[in-house]
Amino acid sequence: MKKLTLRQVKQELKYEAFLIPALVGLALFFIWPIASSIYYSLTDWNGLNPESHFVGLKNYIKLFQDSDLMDSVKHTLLYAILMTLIQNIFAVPLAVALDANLRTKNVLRLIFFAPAVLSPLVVGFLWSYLMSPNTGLFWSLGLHINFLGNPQIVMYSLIFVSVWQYTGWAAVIYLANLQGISQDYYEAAKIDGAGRWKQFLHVTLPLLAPSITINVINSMVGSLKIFDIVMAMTQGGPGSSSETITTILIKRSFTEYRYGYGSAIAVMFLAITAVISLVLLKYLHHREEKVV
Amino acid sequence: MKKVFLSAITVVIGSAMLLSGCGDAKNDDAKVSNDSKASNGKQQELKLMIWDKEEQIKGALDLFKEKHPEIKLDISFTDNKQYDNILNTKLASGSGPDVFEVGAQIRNLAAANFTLDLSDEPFISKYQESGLSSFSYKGKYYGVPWMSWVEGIFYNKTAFEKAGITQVPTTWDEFLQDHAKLKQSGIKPQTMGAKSWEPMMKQSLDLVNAGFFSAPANKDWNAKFSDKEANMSGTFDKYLEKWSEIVKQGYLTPDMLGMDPDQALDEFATGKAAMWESGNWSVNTIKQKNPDLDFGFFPIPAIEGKPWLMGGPGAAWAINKNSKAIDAAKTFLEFWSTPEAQLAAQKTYGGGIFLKDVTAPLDPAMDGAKEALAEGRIFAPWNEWFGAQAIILEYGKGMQNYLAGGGSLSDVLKNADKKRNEMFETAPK
Repeated sequence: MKKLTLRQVKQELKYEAFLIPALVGLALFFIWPIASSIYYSLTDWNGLNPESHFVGLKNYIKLFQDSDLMDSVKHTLLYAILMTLIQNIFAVPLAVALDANLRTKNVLRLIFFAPAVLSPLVVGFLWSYLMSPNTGLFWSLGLHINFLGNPQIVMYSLIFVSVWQYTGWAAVIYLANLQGISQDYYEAAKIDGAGRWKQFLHVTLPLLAPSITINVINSMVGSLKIFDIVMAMTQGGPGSSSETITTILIKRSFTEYRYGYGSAIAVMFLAITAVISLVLLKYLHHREEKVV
Repeated sequence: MKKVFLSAITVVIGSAMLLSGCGDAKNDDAKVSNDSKASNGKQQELKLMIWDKEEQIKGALDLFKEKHPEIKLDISFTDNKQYDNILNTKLASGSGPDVFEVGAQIRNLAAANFTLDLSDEPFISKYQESGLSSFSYKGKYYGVPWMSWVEGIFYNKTAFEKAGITQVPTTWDEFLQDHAKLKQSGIKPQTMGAKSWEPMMKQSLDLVNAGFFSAPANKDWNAKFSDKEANMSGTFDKYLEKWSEIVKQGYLTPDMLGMDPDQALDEFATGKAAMWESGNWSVNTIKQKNPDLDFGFFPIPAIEGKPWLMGGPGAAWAINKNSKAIDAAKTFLEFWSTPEAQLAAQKTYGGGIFLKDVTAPLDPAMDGAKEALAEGRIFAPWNEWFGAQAIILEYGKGMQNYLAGGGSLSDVLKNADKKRNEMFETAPK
């Protein structure tokens, strides 16, 4: 018995030895930076001086007094929640439509997926021209809305552009899932007298659960990290009406030489992202299991 | 057991090879640079780091290579957006360039003891004080200036004629009246790319230039401001209040918050707007967009008295205190401080020269700046603040809020003071 365990251990070790290179990479590029961020978040390091002082939780207390940062948390959550909802609400029917037996389906799939291939910077510059007052496309069509210059609207303009860019991408994941759903279910549903809508509701939607998990988590985490589209379209403005956690993080660390404080923002951001992802993941997995 | 051992060894060797692969590449690099040194005799390498493109000062750099064959320039360009980040990291890790371009961050770098004190160098005395003061910290000079930037108002001469305006405005009231006349004649009086936080910040601070900083008694205000002994709030209010008439009368409008500076340039160059605030760097672009446009330039009008230009030295060279090539670095700065080097650089970089007794003409389109420049009526106050970038950003964003109808001007000043307090905390004591 004892001998067997030893052999088992050896066997395990053999496989686990192959993990070492990946583990080294993970430690070097993920664990180490996070650990040092946590360390720096407890100091007043300014990014330049070799020496820094331990300041305890002072940086973390300041987070809550930083009104721009608190606003940026609201903007980021608004963006992430709406983006995740709208993107997925549009992507599912789009995938169903693209799954239909159309002659142009390959061309259509390409068209809807294409924006996701572009860099967010390119997309951002493009849309900011279209959305600009006086000279922009919408303005000249008579739609006199200051999409990027009105603090009440600007976040929704950013959400619109992101939805435009990434809905096709999410639809492709749904599409792959759809193609794995056996036709037998639909036939059985038909025999039971289910119409198209009922088929969608009781067959398609429940069986899409795995891809819903992937898409929701993906767009939630990706949206919380929103940075490039803001930089390209508004730089956080007008005023600070479209600042997000990441843009404030960059400003505080690099423009203001407050790396210690910036690290505290980063740690807080990590915590927010981790909590939201874990809760979502738990809920969605639970839902998946119910289907199976 | 053998198998386990073997596979473990394989993995170890495999990862070792990966790592040593990197090591080899490094060694090769080192060899190459050693070889090149050897083949060039005793050439010493001087590492420069800049955010302006090399072509913009190419004339001067070529001249240096010609005059100092014993020094080999190794120039690395880093985009302005990443510049501070990369420079700071390099300096902090001890692998910084020997000579580098700096702006308002010079005081942070000097405070952190990264830049060489140049106060006693002979070439420093060749410059006007107005070119040096932006790169000083606690009474010592740390930078040798490049050319100045000059900002004011570009105007469409044809549109002015059509509106019956015969003279460019010098006071804010005249400026507003001209806006009214232009509007009546059917043209948008002024355009602004207020999506950037810069133009409103500069336009309003220029009224402070003419009204406040023009008085010799206020010369040391900036140092006091950095030391938390003076505040914007309570000092700048009346100038901003006067400036805000341009918003209240509807000439700067919230829709401009959605416009990029490039789009504003477009509107001006294509004759859709009669005035646009910008500077010497835009002249060529305007001409390229519309070669037929008949346009001129005037300093931003003042509340009373003579109008001032916004501007000053935008960049300077600083020497890394921990450089191993300090002598070569000084040779380079000494060369930079000669009229021929400055004139060669100015050809492509543009702007005014700060060397004493050297006058270099600006583009004829900027003739309107001549008188103010000759009388030294040009200033950018933040050049003398500690943590300037963060403070003007806060100020400019506050102005955007104001234009959007979301905040008061006194809030703008209070928040800028608050940001200064935060910057003061990060300054070494």
